[in-house]
Amino acid sequence: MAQVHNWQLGREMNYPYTAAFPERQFAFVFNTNRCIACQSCTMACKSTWTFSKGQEHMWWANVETKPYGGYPMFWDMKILELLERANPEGQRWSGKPSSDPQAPYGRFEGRTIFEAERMLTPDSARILGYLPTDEEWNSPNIYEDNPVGERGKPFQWHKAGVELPEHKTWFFYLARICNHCTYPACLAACPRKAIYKRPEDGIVLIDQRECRGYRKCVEACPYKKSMYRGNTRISEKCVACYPRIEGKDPESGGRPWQTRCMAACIGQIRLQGLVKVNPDGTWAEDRQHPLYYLVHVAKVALPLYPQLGTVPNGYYIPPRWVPRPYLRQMFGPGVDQALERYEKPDRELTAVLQLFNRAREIVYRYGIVEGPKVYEGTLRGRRVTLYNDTVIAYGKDGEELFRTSVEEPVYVRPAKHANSI
Amino acid sequence: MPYGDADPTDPHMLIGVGLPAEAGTMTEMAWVFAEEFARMGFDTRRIMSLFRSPFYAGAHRAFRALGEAEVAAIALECVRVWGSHQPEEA
Repeated sequence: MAQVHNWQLGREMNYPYTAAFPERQFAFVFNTNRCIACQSCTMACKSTWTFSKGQEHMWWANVETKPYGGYPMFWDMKILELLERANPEGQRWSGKPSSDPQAPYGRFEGRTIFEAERMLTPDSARILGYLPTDEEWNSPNIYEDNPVGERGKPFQWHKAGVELPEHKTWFFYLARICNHCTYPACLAACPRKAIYKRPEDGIVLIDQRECRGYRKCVEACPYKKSMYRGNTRISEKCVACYPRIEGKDPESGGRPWQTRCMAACIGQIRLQGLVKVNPDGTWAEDRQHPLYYLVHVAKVALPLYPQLGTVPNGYYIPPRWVPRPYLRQMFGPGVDQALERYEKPDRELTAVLQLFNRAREIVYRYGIVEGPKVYEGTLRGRRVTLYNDTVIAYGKDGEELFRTSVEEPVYVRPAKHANSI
Repeated sequence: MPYGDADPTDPHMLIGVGLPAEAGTMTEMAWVFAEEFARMGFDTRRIMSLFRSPFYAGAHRAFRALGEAEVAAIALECVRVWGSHQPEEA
C-alpha cells in the first residue's frame, strides 16, 4: 500500500494507490440546524437520475433521521462497529483542533478502513467494509417515512391508517449524498479499475462500460453510496450532476450550476462549490471562497465520520441540540469549537451564511459590504449586535451572481399569482 | 413509535434502545429551529406554522413537548432579533 497524507486525520495513511489530486474538488457544506427533512433534495435527485426500472431502491440523495435512521439501514452503526473491532484500544484522537492546515482536528491514532488488514476476510479484500442485505436497502428512512404496520404482520399496512410515529428523544436530520472522497474506498476496491476520480473537479464516477457488478465498491464505501442495479448487473452512484457542474445545462448559459439536490433545498441548508487543491491534497488558501471560509477559517463545518479515512468532501455544521459525545463521534474533535462559533456568529459568518442556496449558480468568491447596525439587544440573555451587511456572490469568471443582505426581505407571491412564473 | 419497551441488548434496531439526552434538549431544538428560520426571514406566523405541522417531525415534537405558548414566546424573541425589519405580515 502507498502512504498518503490525510489532512483530516492529521497523519500519513495507507491507501491502495499513490495520491493524485484534482485541480479543484467538488465539495459542499450542509447546515443540519436548518434541515426539516422535507425531502425536496431526495425527490429532486430521484426524479432526475434514478427513476427507472431497477433503480427503485436507489436514493443517491437521502435524508435520514439520526440517530436511529439510516439508508441503507444501520450503515453507520455497522461500519463503526467494524472499525471499533479494528481498534480495540478505541477510536482515539490526540492533540487538539488547531490552525495547522495539515492537522486541523488533531491526529487520529486509530486505524482507518484502509488499515484494518487483520480484520479483512477473505484475504483478497483490501478495505474494511460490508455488503448490506437486500432488506437494508428496502426502507430509505425506516420508522420515519415508512408506515410500520402492525407487529408480526410484515408487508401489511394498517387498514384504517395510523398517526405518524413519534420519537421521544433527541434527533436530527442528516442529508447525505456521495462525498466524492479524496481517497475513495469504492475506487480503491474495484478490481476492474472501473471507478475514477475526475482530474478537473474530483467527482468520482463509475465507468458503466467497465463495471461488471462485482459489488466490491458497494462493500467498501463506508457511506454506502455505491449501489448495485439488479436488472443491468452493474453498480451506479451519485454523479454530482456533472453536466450542471460543467455548465452544460441548456439553460445555464455555460455557467456552472449547483447539483439538483442543492438547488432544490427549500430550507437553504446547502452550499456547494469547487475548491482549489494544493499539490499535497490540502485545500489551497482561497480566503474569499465560501467553502474555504466555512471549513478552514470559521471552522464551523466538519467532515462526516473523518475517522473512516476517505477524506469525505461533504462538510456539516453540526446540530446544536444534540449530545456532544454523539456529535464528536460523527464529526470528530472539532465539534465544540464549531458549535461555539456557530452559536455566536461574528459579522462575517453571519453574512456568509446568507449565501446558502440563494442561486443555482456555483459561488466561487464572495465579498462583503458593511452595512448599518440594525439591532442591539439580547437573545436568550446573550448580547447580540446585528449589522445589515451585504454579501455579494461572484461566479467562475468573476461576474456578480447575486447580492443579498443579512436582513433579507421576504416577498410572498399573492395567491392568485402563485403559479404565474 | 416503538412496539415495546426498551431493549438495551438490541444494538442495531434502535426501536427500543434508550438514548441519553441532556435536560432541555427539546427546548434547545425549538430555539434552534426558531432562530434558523427567523434568520431566513420567516415571521412568527410562518415559524409557528412550521412547528404546528406534524410533517416536520422535529419541530413538531418540540411543539408537542413544550406547548404552544412556550414555542410562541421563543419564536417571538427570535423574530425580534432577526426579523425586526420585516413587516408584520410579510
